[in-house]
Parts: sequence; structure tokens; C-alpha cells
Amino acid sequence: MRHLTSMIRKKKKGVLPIVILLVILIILPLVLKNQYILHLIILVMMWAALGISWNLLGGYTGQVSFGHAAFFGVGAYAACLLHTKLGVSLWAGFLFAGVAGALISIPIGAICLRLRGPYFALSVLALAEVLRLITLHWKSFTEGAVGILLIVPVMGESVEYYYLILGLGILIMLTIAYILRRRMGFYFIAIREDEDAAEALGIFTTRYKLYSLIISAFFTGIIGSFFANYTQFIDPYIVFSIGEVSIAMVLVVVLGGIGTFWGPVVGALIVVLLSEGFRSFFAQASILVYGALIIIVILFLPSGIVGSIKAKYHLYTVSKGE
Amino acid sequence: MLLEVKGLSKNFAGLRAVHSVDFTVQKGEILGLIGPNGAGKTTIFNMISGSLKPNEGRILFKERDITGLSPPRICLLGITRTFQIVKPLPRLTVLENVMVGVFSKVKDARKARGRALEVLEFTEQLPKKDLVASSLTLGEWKKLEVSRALATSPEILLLDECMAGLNTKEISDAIHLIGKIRERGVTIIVIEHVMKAIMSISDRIVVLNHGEKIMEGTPEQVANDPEVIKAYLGEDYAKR
Repeated sequence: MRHLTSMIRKKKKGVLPIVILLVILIILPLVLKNQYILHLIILVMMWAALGISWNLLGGYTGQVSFGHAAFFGVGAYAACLLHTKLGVSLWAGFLFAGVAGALISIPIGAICLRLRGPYFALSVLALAEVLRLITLHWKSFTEGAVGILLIVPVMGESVEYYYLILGLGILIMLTIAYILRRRMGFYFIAIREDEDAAEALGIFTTRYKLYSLIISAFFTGIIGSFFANYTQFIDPYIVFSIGEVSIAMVLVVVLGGIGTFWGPVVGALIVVLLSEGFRSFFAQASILVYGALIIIVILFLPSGIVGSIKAKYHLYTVSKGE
Repeated sequence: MLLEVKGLSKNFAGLRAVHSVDFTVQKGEILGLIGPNGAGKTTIFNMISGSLKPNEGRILFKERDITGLSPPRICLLGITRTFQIVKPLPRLTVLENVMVGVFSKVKDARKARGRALEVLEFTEQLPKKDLVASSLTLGEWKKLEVSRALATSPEILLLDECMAGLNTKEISDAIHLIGKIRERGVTIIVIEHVMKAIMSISDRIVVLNHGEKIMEGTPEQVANDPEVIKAYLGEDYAKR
């Protein structure tokens, strides 16, 4: 998906497999009665949605973030607190969660996206930690380490969550696909490719990086509130976790293929299945095996799975074209 | 007067890169900017295009003071530069690179694509449109810089050594292209080391040495000026 116009062309040709995938995903819960497998697919879709949101900023705009848990956690807490304290509907909570994620991203982005280099990635990491500590210690408002239990979440059945996350995932994918074909998407990629060239061509780079961050944080916040509803319980350690949320989002994208459209989907599938599989096979050693595997993938497939396949395919077409 | 540079100075940690340089550019002309390496030519481009702020002096574009504005602001006002060390958007195709330039004036992606194809046809790069920019040769990169800058529909085009490293055929193509661009009414400031090129395309030439303007005039005047010959062109050129 690196080449936008070819992406647009392939879109027309590649519609059929997407439609088939979609039909399978829609009818799957009707035939599949295994709750555990259904749960795994929900997790895959949730991580795919998170990866796609992260990828807009990190993969397409080139602004890597090590702290997307900030937006995930704020989304989760916004929906839960609005519900428990003010009685706001959890359905409206999805929207408020996105808005909360977007709002919290604006000050940090407006300040740190002016800089080039690792400053933004690290300051978002710090933001997530600050938010974790605030929610941990502001007990009168957030319940602190006790966490929030959603006694009556937005829906009851796993199947309902399955369709909810499928819908949210599709919505996020369609929105991002639309953005990438517009001027804004071209500008995001131009900034990633060469910031000096982008500025010389009339792009206000800080402003467009901020747009990318806001959209990314909005979707991440929505998925944060999905997570809260689905698990019915959140606490600061879970939703603001560096390893389990922030870095996991980076991993999903890097394994699948950074800056590719389907990379995060493939990455989510692998990360969820492996972490589940390793947990049952290797028990406590699972993180070790998991880490080793990641090192291997990064060494041998530096542009991720989808990225490497694309690179091969591209080499083929170029040599054919010449 | 389209562009007016008055008393422009820039110091880098005590080094006087540009010192009190004045020149003007008339609408529709091609102004050559020459001088030995380190004379301050690119620094002047960096100040006009906004990527460096001058320590002293003013830059007026259509009577408006544009000193110290940001690069995108200056591009949108109508002054676009190319880079001496090319800066393609490597993983985008040639067409997409040019579309990014077009987007400064055209919002709609489909219209931008059409306009970008026109630009590529004008610069004779249409056959390369679907190649990824990273796979081009140096000559094509230099041309892509020009295509992309042209795509922003500038009133003034700043060309920073767009012929350096090109072969004879590519240089004569570039000279031809610059002529075509000028016929469209675009004003051009050229930095160039290829003497044959700069002498044939420029209406006027400003000569810089050690950050100061030492001479300004027509190519003939400049080529025959003893001061310029001493500072820059060398004995070989003087004998001719």
C-alpha cells in the first residue's frame, strides 16, 4: 500500500477477496458455537482496529508513538466514568471516549510534533505514565487501583460484541482508506517520506502531523471504551499499560507491516494467536519465546510480513516493466 | 519588481556565510546566481524559501515583506524551490510526488492527478509516471525536483543546481526545459556551476564570493569582468 495510486487501482481489482472475507466474518458466529474461538476472533479484530489506528500516525505519517495507551486508557475511563458518575449511556460513551482520546492528544501533539526525532514518541510514553499515575491516585474520582466494574455493560452476549467490533473495525478501516486517498493522506505520507520536501511543497507539517494524531487518538479512544465494555472491568494498570497496550500496538503493526494497509490485520492475528498459544504451551516462559520470535521477525522481515510480500511483488513488477 | 533582496546577511556561529547582499528580480526574467563553492548561494535560497532566517536584511515579494515566514507559507505565496541534494518522496511514484506539489493549489485528488499528468507531460517525464521515485537515476531525480516544484504553480522558481552531475544530453534537455518554463511566464532564479548553461539561459547574473556580491550584469559583462575571472571563472575561461 505504499504506492497510493496503485492502491486505488488495486482496490477495484481486489474488492472480491475483501467481500469474501467480510461475508465469512459476518456468518461465522452463526455456525461457530465455540465461545473461546469467538473470544479470540474478537481480540484479533480489536487489536487490528488498534493497529490500524496507530498505523495512520506511526506508519503513514511517520510519527511513531510509544504511548498510545494514553488514548486507549482515557477512552476507557471516559466512557466508564461518564456512565457511573453521570449516568451517560454507554452507547454515547463510545463517541465521548473517542472525543476524550482526541482532546488529550491535542496539547501533547501541538507541543511535541514540532520537533523531529524521538521526542514525540517518548513524550507520549510519558503522557501515558502520567495518566496512569493520576488515575491510580485520584481515588475519589477514578476509584484508583480498585478499578471500575461495569455491572451492566453496553451488551451481554459475546456474539453482540463480535458484531460491534467488526462494525467498528470496518468503520475505522473505511475512514482511513478514504483519508489516504485524499489530499490529507498524501500529505501524511509526504511528511513521512521527507519533511523538508513536504514543507517546501507548501505543507504545514506540524498541523498535518497533529491531524493524523487526533484521528489516530480518536479511534484508539473508541476501542478503549469497547475494551472496557467487553471485559467489564478496567483499572489503571490494565488500560495504561506500557507493555500490554502501548508496545503491543507497535508490535501488531511492526510484525504485520508498518505503513501497509492490511499489515495491522495480519499482525493482530499473529500476536493474538501466538500470545494465546504460547501461554498454554510455555506458561511462564511464554514472554521469553514471544520476545525471541519478535527479534527473529524483525531481523529477517524488517518491513513486516505484508511489507515483505509487497517488496517482493514490487521487485517483480519493476523488473518486468523495464 | 517581483522580488527584492535588501542587505541580506547570515552568520553561522561567527562565520559570515552571506554578508549584506542586495539584488532584485524582474517579472519574467531568469537571474543566475553564481560563485565558488561556499560563496553563500544556497544560503540565500534557504533564506528566500524560509528554511533559514536571516540575521539582517529584508526580502520583499511583490512589495510584501516575507522575511522569516515559514517554508510552506512562502511556497503558498508563490515561491517554490528545488533542492541541490535532491529530496524525492522515495516510496511514492513519480506521479504521486508531483501530485503532492499540485495539492498546494488543488484540493480534489482526481483534479490533482489530472494536473500532475499535465505537468509531467510538460517536463517530458510522463513515461516514468508509475515508477517509484527511489528507483530513478540522478538525472531523473533532478528533473522530478523541477516537475514537483512546477506543480505548485509558482511565480518564482528557485532552481538549486538542477544540472549538477548530469550528462551533456541531460544538460541540454534541462536548458530547453528552463526555457519552456520561462515561456509560461514563470520567473526563475538559478544557481548553477555548469557555465555553458548559466551563460546561455540567464538574462542577468549575480556573482557572489565569500558571501558578498562582487558583480552583477549580463552574462557578457560578467564573463569579461576581471574581478569575476579572478574570483571564480579561472584562467582557462579568461583566455577565450
